[in-house]
Amino acid sequence: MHIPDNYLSPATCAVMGVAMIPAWKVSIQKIRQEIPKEKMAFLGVGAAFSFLSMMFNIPLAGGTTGHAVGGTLIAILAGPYAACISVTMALFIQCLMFGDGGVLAFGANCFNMAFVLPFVGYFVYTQVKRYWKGKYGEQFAAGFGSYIGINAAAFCAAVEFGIQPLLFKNGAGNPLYCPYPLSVSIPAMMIGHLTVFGAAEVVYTVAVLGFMKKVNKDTNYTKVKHTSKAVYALLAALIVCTPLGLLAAGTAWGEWGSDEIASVVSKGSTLGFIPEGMKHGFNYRALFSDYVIAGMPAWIGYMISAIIGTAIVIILFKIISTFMKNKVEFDL
Amino acid sequence: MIQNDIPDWLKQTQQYTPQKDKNKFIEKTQNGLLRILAKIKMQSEFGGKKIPSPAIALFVLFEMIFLTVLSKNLQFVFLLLGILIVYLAFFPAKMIRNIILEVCSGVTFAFFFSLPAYLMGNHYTMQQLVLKTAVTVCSVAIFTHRIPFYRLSHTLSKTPLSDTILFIFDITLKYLVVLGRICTYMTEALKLRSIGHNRKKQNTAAGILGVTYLKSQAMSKEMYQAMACRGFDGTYQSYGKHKWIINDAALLVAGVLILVVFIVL
Repeated sequence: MHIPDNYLSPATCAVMGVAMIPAWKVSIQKIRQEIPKEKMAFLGVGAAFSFLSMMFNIPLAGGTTGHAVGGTLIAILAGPYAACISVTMALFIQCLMFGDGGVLAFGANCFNMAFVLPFVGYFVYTQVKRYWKGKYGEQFAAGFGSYIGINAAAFCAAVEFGIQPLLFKNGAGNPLYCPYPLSVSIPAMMIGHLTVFGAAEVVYTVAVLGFMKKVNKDTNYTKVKHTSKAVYALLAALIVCTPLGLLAAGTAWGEWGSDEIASVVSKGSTLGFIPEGMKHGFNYRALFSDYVIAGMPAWIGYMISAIIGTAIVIILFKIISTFMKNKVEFDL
Repeated sequence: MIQNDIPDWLKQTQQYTPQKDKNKFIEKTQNGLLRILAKIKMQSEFGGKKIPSPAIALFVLFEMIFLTVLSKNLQFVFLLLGILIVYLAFFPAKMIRNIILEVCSGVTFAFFFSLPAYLMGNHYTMQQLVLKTAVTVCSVAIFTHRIPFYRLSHTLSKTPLSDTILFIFDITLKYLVVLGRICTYMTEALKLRSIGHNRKKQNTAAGILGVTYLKSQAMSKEMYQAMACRGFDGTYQSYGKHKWIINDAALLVAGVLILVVFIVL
């Protein structure tokens, strides 16, 4: 679901970026009000969970891959505003350091995965939880919420892809950016997310939530006094398992490089050309592009990338916490 | 009976509104002193028993700096930076901010230093210089924040350094805190007693330093007498023993791994 650069027109990227500004502003204000300074580190842990979940690529028939995002999970644990900022941070590190998702398309990726996903997922979760108060009510609500959340985000990404050929064409009528219209992009994105990737998000959310509940008893993590060692152990276990994401060969739909796109087969026909906007577009070279470290086996590079990414996310949130004022909590 | 009348001028109500005065000089001095004291205090608060052996830490620090400077492979330098970032993630938030600030200032300097080379088309020099500066400054900053000064002097005592040098080093660190506190109290007192616009305030800086010097003289005499009473004969010995902890082993393994990666890459 990470939209690379040059798939969306600069105008679309700018609109999505501007649309995210109020979402970030309100989220930061809410975090300042609701989350005490010393619990800010948990947002880093949440962002690390999201970062790692996006590294587990799952293969799908047809050679494409996808992944879970974990946005609804963080929204349940720390609130949707915290989830918005946590996933934003994870996406920021991914695009800047590992070239996963475009720099120009950062606003669009944040809109889909850091705004639509956690807010829709959390809303569905709260509604379902309200009506189903049984033994497994919370797990079901979390699973269902995460499923709807990731599909809503995928749908938004599909629409963003699909409107490009309608809006941006050259003199010859060829698309300048993403060449696939809504009739192709929506089914291509949604089939995977309604089935395998949606299921992966559900499994990831329910499993980690179950673990958190077992360890902390309280699902609302902002009320838990300390991030327990078990949570860090889970993070470490996820890092060790990240090379599993390499088993899925192929590129996710809509994430091809400009060298790949000409040979992509869609609805039985090969595209056969590179859209102009992609050929002469913005090209950012990330530090560890595609989680690869030159001179090292792919799996070691992937794992090192996971470790460094997780550490950076935690450090960022720790630094942010130093700028926050101390708050007295009377409810503990 | 003698009646003491209150003079009229004393009966008058006066409304004294002191003129506003800037305390920049005092505040700056105070902040500088407090920052040093806070750094020393933070060092002793973080880690406690988990502080790794300063000798091993010093060895790994030198190894990292040496290999970074020696390396022509940017991937190796990136990896070292990655290791430092991961280690840094376990530090308290305030310490992380301080270390990052130190690294940023070093990196900014290196950036401007290599800017002419970059503008003339040599991009590699800038990458190399900025990255290597980031790694070396970060490793030194982590070391100074992680290993308390008092443990450092303990480690240095095991080296063939002269006793006199060690003694001066140790006493300097200890009295930095004691005299620093005295200075802070005096600047605080000056701030509180100075009412209204006071132009002579800056001149008192010499006074504060003078009093601090006199205090240090008195303290050094007291310390010498106390040490003489305890049988000090000029030999400076350190009696504290470092117990082997898991952090030492982890640090050693990291040191060996860094060397292996350097050779492989």
